[in-house]
This record gives sequence, structure tokens and C-alpha cells, in this order.
Amino acid sequence: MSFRITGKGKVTESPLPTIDKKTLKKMEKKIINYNPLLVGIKDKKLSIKAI
Amino acid sequence: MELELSPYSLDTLKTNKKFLSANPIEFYDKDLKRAKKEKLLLQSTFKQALNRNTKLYRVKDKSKEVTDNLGFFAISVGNIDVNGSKIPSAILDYLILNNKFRKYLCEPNQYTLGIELFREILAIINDLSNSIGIRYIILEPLNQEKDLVDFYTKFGFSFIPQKNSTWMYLDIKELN
Repeated sequence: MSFRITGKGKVTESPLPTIDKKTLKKMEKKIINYNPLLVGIKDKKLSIKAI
Repeated sequence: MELELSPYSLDTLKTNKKFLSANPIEFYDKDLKRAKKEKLLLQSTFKQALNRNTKLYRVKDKSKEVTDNLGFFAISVGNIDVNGSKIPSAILDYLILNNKFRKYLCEPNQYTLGIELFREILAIINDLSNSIGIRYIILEPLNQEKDLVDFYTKFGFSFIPQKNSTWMYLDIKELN
């Protein structure tokens, strides 16, 4: 649940995106050829300690 | 600095109410107006975590050279609605870094705190996608601030190509 904040400082919940099929097609067409910041994510070792 | 991510259990959240709302003001942005907004959003996220609508994480330095909280983030799952059909997505609900340590470099790749932490968040979402259906990662940069938009764009995020969309997205298949 994400939030927005108005100019007057009121916090409101952000509605999740509602899109049409044409937009989805555009989203599906997007290709990222190479982004070094995304390399190694799948093999990343994380240190997670529940509290 | 090596990051340690700690998801809050419900019990810990219940007993840490005061601790969370008592982060020192240096934790937030130098601009007091912005700091106030950041604090308000953290409090709202905290309340939602108490209601189990999002999972709140604390970020610390594993080596304990730095003992302050380095940041917080919250993730949940939801759907993008496409004419009534649902596309499962992971949502970055909240992300804040300790203003004092934003420029610190992190192990193992010497990325700054922000970049390293975001890579770790993506790794959590990637792990999750091995167990449940997730197609996109979505987030809404606060007020579409340029610095935030530039940061996420560096990772390959773009705005959903629809008029007035405030949400950015990345296809999970781009993680490698």
C-alpha cells in the first residue's frame, strides 16, 4: 500500500494502476538490452535477519 | 558497509511503536518540509505494516561499524488492472535512506547505499517471484520528483505509458 502526500500535508493511499490493453502492449514491448545495475540480482546473497 | 535487512514481525512492530517514530531528525532530509513529509509517510507505512498490508524492513550495517538505522523500506503485492484482468505485481510501497549515510559505499560492489539497497530489494522480489506469480515491479516516486525518477530510471524503470500515470514499472524478466 503506497501513499501520496498533498501540498497541505495530507497523506492519502495511492490507487494501484488501471490501464487499457493498448498500454499493456506498449509495456510488453519494452526491452532493456543491458543494464549493469540489474546484473547479478538473481544470484545476490542477502543478509536477512527477521526481527 | 554491508547491509542487513530485517523484516519486522508483527510482535516487534507492536513493541517498537515509539522507537520507529523517534528516529532522530538527522535521519530525514535536511529540508525540514521534506523531512516532515518523509516522517509522515514512514508513520503511515508503519500503520499499514501493523495491519499486515505491507511488509516493513529495517536496514542496518551488518558489521555494526555504523549503528544507526540506515533506512527503511516496505514491499507488498497487488495487481495492475487491465480492463478487469489482473496482472500480479510487486509494489515498493516505501523507501527511505538515512540522510547521513546516503553517500556511503557498500560491499560487495562499492555501490552507494541507495543503489546497493535497491539492488537488494530487487533480489528479494526476484526470490519471491520464484514462489509466486509476479510480472512487474511497480512504484510511485513521491510527487514525481526528478531525483527519484532519475534514480529509478537508471535501473530501467519507466512510467507506465498512459496519460498522467504516476507509476513506474519494470518487467521482472529484466532481472538477471
